Amino acid sequence: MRTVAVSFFAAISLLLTACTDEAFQSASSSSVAGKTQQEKQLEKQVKSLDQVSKDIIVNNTVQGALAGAVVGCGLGLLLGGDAGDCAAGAAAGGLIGGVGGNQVGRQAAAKNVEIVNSKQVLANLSNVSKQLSSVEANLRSVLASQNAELKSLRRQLDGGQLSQSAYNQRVNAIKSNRQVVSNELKRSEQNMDNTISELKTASSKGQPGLGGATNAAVSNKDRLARTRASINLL
Amino acid sequence: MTSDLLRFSRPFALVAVTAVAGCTGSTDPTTATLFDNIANLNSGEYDRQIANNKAQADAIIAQNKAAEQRNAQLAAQSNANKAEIDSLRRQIADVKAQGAKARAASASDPVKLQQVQALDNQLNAVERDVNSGASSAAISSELSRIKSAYRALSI
Repeated sequence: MRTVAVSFFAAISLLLTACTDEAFQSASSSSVAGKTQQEKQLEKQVKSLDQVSKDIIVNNTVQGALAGAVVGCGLGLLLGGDAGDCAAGAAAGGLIGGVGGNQVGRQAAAKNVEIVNSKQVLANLSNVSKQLSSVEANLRSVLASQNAELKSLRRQLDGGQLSQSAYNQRVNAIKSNRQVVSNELKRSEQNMDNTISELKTASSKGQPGLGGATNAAVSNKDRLARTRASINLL
Repeated sequence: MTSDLLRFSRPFALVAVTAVAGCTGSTDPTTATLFDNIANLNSGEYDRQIANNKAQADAIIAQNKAAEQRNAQLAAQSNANKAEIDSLRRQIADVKAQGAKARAASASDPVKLQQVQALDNQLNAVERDVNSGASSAAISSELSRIKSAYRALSI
């Protein structure tokens, strides 16, 4: 009998625990209540921008120097692996290209690495710039609408047509929306900072052709900062 | 023994490599072989691709500059479209008509008249906002509430 009672108590406790979790989750999700569809859409957009701006540098950028050496000398290794490996490879390649010599092989490999390095990075940076344009368009509209609404809510509160709690709820939702957007933009800025730092490190280690990508990353970062600065956090 | 084998195999390897070289021809640097690399270098293909990358970097910077200029221009423009503003103006006219009824009904009651005056001031503020391009669901709600307040004073 005692065992049954303990089991029953344990089951009830578990059920109550589950209820508490659910209640807590409801309370958490109610923190976004009061936001409009457009505001929620904007939050999704800036979160997506954060994701897109995270992985700008692809692995082959930092491994580029090694890849270049393999491309330049791999054929030479196939031909014998002695001191003249790169020269032999390039000379064999020269049969097709009409030129010969170690220098040509190395030059061709270096240009190959330069193109591969910057191509994907630039595509990623371009994607960030395009997504930021969508964010800005929506942000401009949301901020203008919120500003008009804040004035309207204040008048209604002063005129006794709106309760203080209803006023607070909506104003807090607007503040929360602006804070979320600002935080996500800040994260994207930090992602760009990391990208710039990685590109500079790769360049200093001898990776060619990353100057344009570095400038584009700086441009993205500056634009992100100015977009964030346009948000009045209230 | 090993070096003899290498010396012996080298001419065959060269022939094999040269034959394979004839089968390639990729201009994509991620798949290009050494032969392709040299061919692309000699044909100027790689220089063209490097120039394309540089142009893309410049395009990103130009796109960012243009977007910022556009933002500055649009920030000064109205947020609402014409249809929204027209709808709000019709609503304002309707509320004003209700206000006139409230003023007439409150003419002999200074307290009520003062309340009507406060609502008139609020309505004027809404109208100023709408005329400057403001539009939001809140403004429409505010107009409904002003109308309800006028109606209560019209009795």
